[in-house]
Amino acid sequence: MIEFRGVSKSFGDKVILDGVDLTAGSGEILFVIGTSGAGKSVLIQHVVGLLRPDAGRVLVDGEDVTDYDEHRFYEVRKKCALVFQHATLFDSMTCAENVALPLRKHFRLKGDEALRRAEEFLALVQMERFGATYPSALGDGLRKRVAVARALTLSPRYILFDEPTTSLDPVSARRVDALIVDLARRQGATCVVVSHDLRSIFSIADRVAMLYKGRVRALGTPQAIRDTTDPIVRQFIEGRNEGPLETT
Amino acid sequence: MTDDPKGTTHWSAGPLPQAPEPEMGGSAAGSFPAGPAPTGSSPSGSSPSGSSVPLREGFSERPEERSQRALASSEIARSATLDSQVTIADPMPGFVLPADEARGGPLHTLAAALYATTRMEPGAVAEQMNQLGIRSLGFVCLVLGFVGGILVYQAGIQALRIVPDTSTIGPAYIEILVRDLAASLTALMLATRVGAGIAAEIGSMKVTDQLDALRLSSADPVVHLVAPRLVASVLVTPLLTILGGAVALLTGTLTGLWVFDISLHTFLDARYVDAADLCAGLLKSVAFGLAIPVMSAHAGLYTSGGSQGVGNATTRAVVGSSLAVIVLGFVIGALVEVLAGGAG
Repeated sequence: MIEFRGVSKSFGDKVILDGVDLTAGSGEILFVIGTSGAGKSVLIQHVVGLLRPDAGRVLVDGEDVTDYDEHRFYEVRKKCALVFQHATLFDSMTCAENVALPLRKHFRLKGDEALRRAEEFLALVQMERFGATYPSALGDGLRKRVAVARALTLSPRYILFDEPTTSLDPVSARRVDALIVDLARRQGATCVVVSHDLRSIFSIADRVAMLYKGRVRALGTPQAIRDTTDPIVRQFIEGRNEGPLETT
Repeated sequence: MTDDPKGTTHWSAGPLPQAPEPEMGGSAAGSFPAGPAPTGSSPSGSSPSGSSVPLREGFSERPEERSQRALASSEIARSATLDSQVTIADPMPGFVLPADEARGGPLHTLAAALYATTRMEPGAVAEQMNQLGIRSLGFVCLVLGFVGGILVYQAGIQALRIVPDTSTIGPAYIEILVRDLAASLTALMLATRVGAGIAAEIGSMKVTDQLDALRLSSADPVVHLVAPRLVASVLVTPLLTILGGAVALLTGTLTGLWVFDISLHTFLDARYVDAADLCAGLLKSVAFGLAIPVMSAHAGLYTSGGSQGVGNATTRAVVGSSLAVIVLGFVIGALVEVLAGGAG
């Protein structure tokens, strides 16, 4: 379980998170939605120590990781994988080498052995044909699949997706959705997905949390979110230009 | 995927060796207890809260895809599972946190890089020696060759105006070449070519989150990106200095011979060069080799603001490296002068 307890974060004078309380239960698909700049990506980066909260606590499996140093986040990062919005594959490495990197670093596998394992992880996301391909030769959807394969190498119990379907064509987006469902349903992983792809949200989410002005504005099942009378949430999910919702 | 008796879920691609003890002590050497069984993975897809999940549209699998996926999963599951009690193999030093507010100075980066040299991967330095050294060789030799010829030409003209004697041009030129010119000019050229390259590469990785991705892959950016460049630079800068100095000596000698008719015997006279000059030149080239990658990598690690930020970081790297070369050259020169004067 991942818990955010009163997490606040500011960059200079700009308050991004202002006391976020949110829990991601084991095995669920939790979508974190909100307008651009609402702090969705900032929130999940706290889990793996890429950002530190100004106030509040972050707990992973009941363990308070808020004040962990880089050393101790090593453990957390094995349990919690983060798939970045832009995949962030290393351009100088082939797809297999990208996936092999955590295997080499964590388990000190030799080059050939790590690559062989990497090919197997690529097969999990149907990318085994692209092991020798450089990321620059792939489209966004395929790159994100490779990034997921890389994230899976450490057998994480929690996978954080930062806008996994943004910039993808509809078919690729649905494939990424299917992958997330597969990870959660078949593999038992907890998936926290930052997104404003409404089709994804209402297709695969178990719960949805909407961030607004640094706080959780709404939290519930997709149906509950769809049925809400909150004008701000309604404006967001209906994508209306006019309304009370303020964007940053 | 397999579930062990403790409920830990695995989707490993087979058994992985127990990692060796970490090189650093501390809390990082912990192990991962088997976690609670994941819930909410029922075939019906019910959510943890028990509420029904709406229709999941748009991700129907083709039969061949499904069988392919099942085959891959079953093959992976057939082999032994990942040992969840894996000891952390290679903890990061934690000195540099480029993603967050913990901002240090260049000395901070230098300390982290020096520490990280003990944990570099085999072959990393050789690759960087090729990148920083071999590929800079032509540029450095070309610049030093022209500068050497120009300097001797100008020195000869001035000497002929004041005292019509060119016999000391060669010895004085060799002394200044050994003591300062070869090292400083080589380093300034490396600051532009190598420094800009290091800052742009690391800076680009920073703004595209690749440094964070490295950290999440348990690969310390300082170990992987900074330390090999630091070691390679310290090794190749003195070598480039010697080669560049040799080319400058050659062009200077030829200029003296062809323009001022200074004989080779007269020009190639190293009577002014002493041990202090050699020490100063060597010390400077090593110090410059250290300073350039540190200043440049530091600029890259703390890049922010997209492509404009990468441009700014590159500028900072070149300016910072060049200033470091000038200041270090002055300090080392003065220090050697004082020590040599005291000894004499």
